[in-house]
Amino acid sequence: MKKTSLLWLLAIAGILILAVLTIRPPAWATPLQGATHLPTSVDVQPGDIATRMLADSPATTASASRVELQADTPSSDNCIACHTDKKKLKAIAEEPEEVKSEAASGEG
Amino acid sequence: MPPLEVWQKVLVKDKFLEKDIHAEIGCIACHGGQPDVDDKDAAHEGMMKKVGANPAQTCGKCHVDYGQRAQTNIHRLQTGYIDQLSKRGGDFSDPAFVTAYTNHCTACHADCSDCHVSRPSALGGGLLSGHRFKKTASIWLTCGGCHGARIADEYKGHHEGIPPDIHWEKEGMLCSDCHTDDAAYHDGSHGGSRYDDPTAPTCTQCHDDVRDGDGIEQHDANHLKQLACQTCHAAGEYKSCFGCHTGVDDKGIKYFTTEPSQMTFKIGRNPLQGPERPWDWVLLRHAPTNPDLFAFYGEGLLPDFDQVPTWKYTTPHNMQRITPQNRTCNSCHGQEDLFLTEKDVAPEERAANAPVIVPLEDIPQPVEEGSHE
Repeated sequence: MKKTSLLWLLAIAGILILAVLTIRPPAWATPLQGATHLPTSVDVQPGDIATRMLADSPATTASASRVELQADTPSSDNCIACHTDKKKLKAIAEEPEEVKSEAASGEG
Repeated sequence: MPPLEVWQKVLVKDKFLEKDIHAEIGCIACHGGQPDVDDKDAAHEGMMKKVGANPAQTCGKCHVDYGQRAQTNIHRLQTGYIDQLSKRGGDFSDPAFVTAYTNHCTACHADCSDCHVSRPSALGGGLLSGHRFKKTASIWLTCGGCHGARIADEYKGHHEGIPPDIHWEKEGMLCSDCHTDDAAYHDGSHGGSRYDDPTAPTCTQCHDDVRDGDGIEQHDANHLKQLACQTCHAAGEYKSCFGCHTGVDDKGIKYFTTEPSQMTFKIGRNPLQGPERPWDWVLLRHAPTNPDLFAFYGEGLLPDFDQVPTWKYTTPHNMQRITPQNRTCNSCHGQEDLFLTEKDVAPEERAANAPVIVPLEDIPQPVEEGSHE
């Protein structure tokens, strides 16, 4: 076989492999089955859910419970705006009162 | 470890918001509080600062298995404290006892957030890394934050003249390398103390080649059967605490006092002998307890104090292969000072420690070197 033909064959094979990889997502990216609500049926053990969540990628852990926690949750924009603002936090920080008793001694 | 500034404790980092999946849930989903309010106090109304304290409603919503295990978690429920105090006759239905316990013991409680997102309360609290969740956080800030004065200091060799643990010194092993996810810190369904946990780590899980005839002279059947590993391999003294007393001062502030801690190394009889710990000889460490521990709150709150030794079973984390007591046979044999004898125990604690005190006649006699029996 000519060298150029071989190169063409290799290039086509490479394109085919790339196409397969692109079209079929890897196993870890498969969403949890029935992940629109917290599974409650007896055939799904809580331990299984946790194990799968730990093993799965962040993308797939967008699972039932998270959706449940997010549902009807008000915006946290104000919380974030304040808690990411060093200057503001420094300005409004309140030192807790000293609560150590004068009678205390020794290490815990 | 210096505590964080107040503002640092609650500073949320952009990295958390951008990269941590937990940020997607939003603050209020876990912490509660009021949205769309600019005033600090108004915004924090109804807010739960430590959501890990209620794992069923927060962490356990997604991490279902861990949420369930947290219901019996030894760190969260302090089952070890409850076990020891109950054995001493502590009555958890007695309001005076419960007040004492609540005032002085529950500060050591740790929940999910104390290890995975915050520094423990014992270190003054505050976010570990701008609210990023860590599967295994810095052991010096989390495990060491509570177990610092004894275990972490031993492990890193912070006691003058005593080397660090070889597992740290040579291998850089972290707490979680031995204390794995299976063990007590995520569970506690075994009840009782950490030593009641059947999944607790043992030396032979890794050192499974230790046996009679393995080429090490002292590893004969007799020594392996009778001595806990630490008895020979703890590299020196470790910290014992004494004389804890509790109370509330005239300003209403609760406090405790302890006597200065002491570095001790004491071999004694095994108070927890059983299938998991069959040895006759183990190391003992004095716990910071005494019959008057809760005397401020009432008389006789620990009526069965003598039921549990104050010199307790211990596994110091300062292991080395060669140690002062295993260098030669007679580095241990005939060395009365290494053993917990009656003179080492305060008179008022001798009854409690009777099971672990070594009678002088039981101390192994010196042997002719190289011919130990």
